[in-house]
Amino acid sequence: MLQRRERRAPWRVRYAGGVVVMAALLVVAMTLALMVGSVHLPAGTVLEVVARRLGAGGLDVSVLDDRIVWELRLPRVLGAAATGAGLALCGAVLQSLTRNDLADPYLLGISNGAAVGAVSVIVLGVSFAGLVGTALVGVGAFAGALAALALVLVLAAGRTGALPPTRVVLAGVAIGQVCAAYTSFVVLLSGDRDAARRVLSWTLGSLAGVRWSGAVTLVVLVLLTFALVMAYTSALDAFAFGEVSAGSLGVSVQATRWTLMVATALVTAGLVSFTGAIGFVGLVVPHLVRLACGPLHRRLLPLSALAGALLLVLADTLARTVVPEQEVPVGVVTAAVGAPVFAWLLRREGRSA
Amino acid sequence: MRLEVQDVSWVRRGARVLDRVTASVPAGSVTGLIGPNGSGKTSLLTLLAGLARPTSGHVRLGEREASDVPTRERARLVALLEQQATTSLDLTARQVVDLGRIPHRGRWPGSADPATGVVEQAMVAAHVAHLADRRWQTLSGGERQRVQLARSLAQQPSVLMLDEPTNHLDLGHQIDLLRTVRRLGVTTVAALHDLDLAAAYCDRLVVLAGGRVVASGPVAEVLSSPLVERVYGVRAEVERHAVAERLTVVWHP
Repeated sequence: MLQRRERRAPWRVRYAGGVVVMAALLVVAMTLALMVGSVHLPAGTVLEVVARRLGAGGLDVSVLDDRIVWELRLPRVLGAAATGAGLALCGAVLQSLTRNDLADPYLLGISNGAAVGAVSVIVLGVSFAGLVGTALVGVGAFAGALAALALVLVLAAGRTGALPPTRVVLAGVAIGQVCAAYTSFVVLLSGDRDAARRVLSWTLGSLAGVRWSGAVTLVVLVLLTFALVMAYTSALDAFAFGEVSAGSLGVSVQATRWTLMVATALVTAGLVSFTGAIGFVGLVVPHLVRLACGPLHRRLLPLSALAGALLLVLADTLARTVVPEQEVPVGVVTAAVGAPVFAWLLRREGRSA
Repeated sequence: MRLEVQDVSWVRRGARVLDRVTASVPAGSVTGLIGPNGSGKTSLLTLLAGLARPTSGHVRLGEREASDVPTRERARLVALLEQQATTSLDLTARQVVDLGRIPHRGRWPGSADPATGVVEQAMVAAHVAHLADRRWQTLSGGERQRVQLARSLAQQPSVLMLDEPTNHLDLGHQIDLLRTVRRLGVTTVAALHDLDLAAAYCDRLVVLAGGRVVASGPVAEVLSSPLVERVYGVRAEVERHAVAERLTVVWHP
C-alpha cells in the first residue's frame, strides 16, 4: 500500500500542476488577445477596464478603451476560448466512442450540413422571419447541420437501433459528400464572386461576428457540455477494449453511444452556427493531450478543454493581427500553427516508444 | 453463485444460434463449454454474462433472471475474459486492471472506491504485479491475457466467464492461466477448444453442437471416444493417462 501511494502521488501532483499551468497560460493568452489589434493597449489598461466592469476599481478608464476591450475584443476572446474548448471536448469524446483516431467533431456530417444551410442563405439569399445577414447565416448553418445529423443517424442506425461506429463514419462521409456537392454546385451556378468568397471564408471559420450575446451562449453551451461529458468519463474509459468489454463492465453501450453522439453533434452544430467550421482543433488537441497525460478521460477531458481554448484564443489573435487591415480565416491559422506542433510531438513520441 | 440455463433458444439475425439449451453450473465449479466452431459457445456465454436477452427460456444468476439484473450490478457479479482484447490506447497494465473497478465506483471522477487495494490484489493473484507500470502495447500475448484476467478479478465477480481464453497463448501460458483460474475457487464457465486442457482443468463439461446440448455432466462421464467422433467427426481415443492421471484425447487422422 505504501509503495502504491509513493508511486501515485507524483502523478496526481503533476496532473494538477499541468492543469494550473494551462489555466494560467489561458489567462495570459486571453489578456494578450485583449491587448493587441488595430489599436494596441497596455496590459494595465486592459485589466483596469475589466476590473471596472466587474465593479472593482479602475476609475480612470477612457470610453474608447472601454469600448474596444469590453464591447469588441472580450466577447470575441471568450467566444474563441469556449469554441476551442467545445471542439476539443467533442473531438476527444467522439474519438473514444468510435475508437477512431481520425474522428473529429464534424464526424456526423455537421460541417458540410452547416455549409449547405449557410450557402443557401449567402448565395440564394434565403430570408426568414425578417432575419438578414450574419445572424441568418448562423440560423441556416444550424438548420443544415441538424438536417445532416438526422440523415446520418437514420442511415447509420441499424434495424435494432444500434449505432455501430463504422456505419456512423461511413454515413457521415456519404452525407457530407452529398452536401459538399450541393455547396459547390450552388456556388458555381450563382457565378457571384463575392458570394463565393463569403462561402469560402465561412467554411474556414471566423470569430469576427461574436458579440456578447453569442459569447455568453457559447460559454454556457460549453460549460453544459463539460458537465455532461465529465459524467461519462468512466463509461468512456470502459470503451478502451471495445463494446463487448464496455458492456461487461456495466456500461449501457447503446444508451451511452446515442447520448454522447447526439449531444456532441448538437453542441458542434451550435458552435458552427456562430463561428463556421473551424477545423483541426477537435481532431488534434485530444491527441496532443493524450500524449501528455494518457488516455484516461478524467484527465484527458479537462486538459483537452483548456488546451483547445488556449489554441483557439492564440489562433484567433494571430488571425486578426498577422496581416494588417485584414483578417485571415482562423481555420487556416489553426492548421498552420497546430500541424507542425503535432508533427513534432508525434516524432518525439515515436522516439521514446 | 449457481447458474441455470433452462430451455433457452436464441434467434440472432434470423439464425437460430441456440436451440432449447438446458444446462446448469454448480456454485464454485469450473465448467467447460466445448463444441466445434459455430456450435453456440460464445452465444451461450453472451447470454450467461447477461449481455443479451434470449428469444425464449430462462437464464438465471443465482435466484434471479439474468436480464433483470441492472447493468452495473451485473458487472459486479459477472466478469468476462475475451479471446483477445485489443486497444490502440496507451494504457499501463495497472490502468487496464483498474478498469475492472468501474462497476464499483461512482460515475463522477474522483468518487471513492468502496474497497482499497483490490487492483493490487488482483494483479498479485494473476501474477502480473511486476508488470504494473508497463505499457499495454509493450506486453506479450501471454502477459496481456494475464493482465485481462487481473482486470476480471478486480471486478470481484461471483462468476467468471472465459471465452476461449487460451487461444493465442503457447502451451506454458495456457496451463498457467487455467491453473490460476482453477485456484481462485470462483464459479467459472470457460469456452475451450483444447479437449486435453478441458479435461485437465474442468469439473464438468457442457458439449454443444449446432446450438444444442449434446451432453453434459462430470468430465469423466461426458468425454468419450464416441462423443468426440460424433461432435467433431474425428476418430479418437479418450483414455486415462497412467502418469498424469487425467483423461487425454488421442486422435487419428
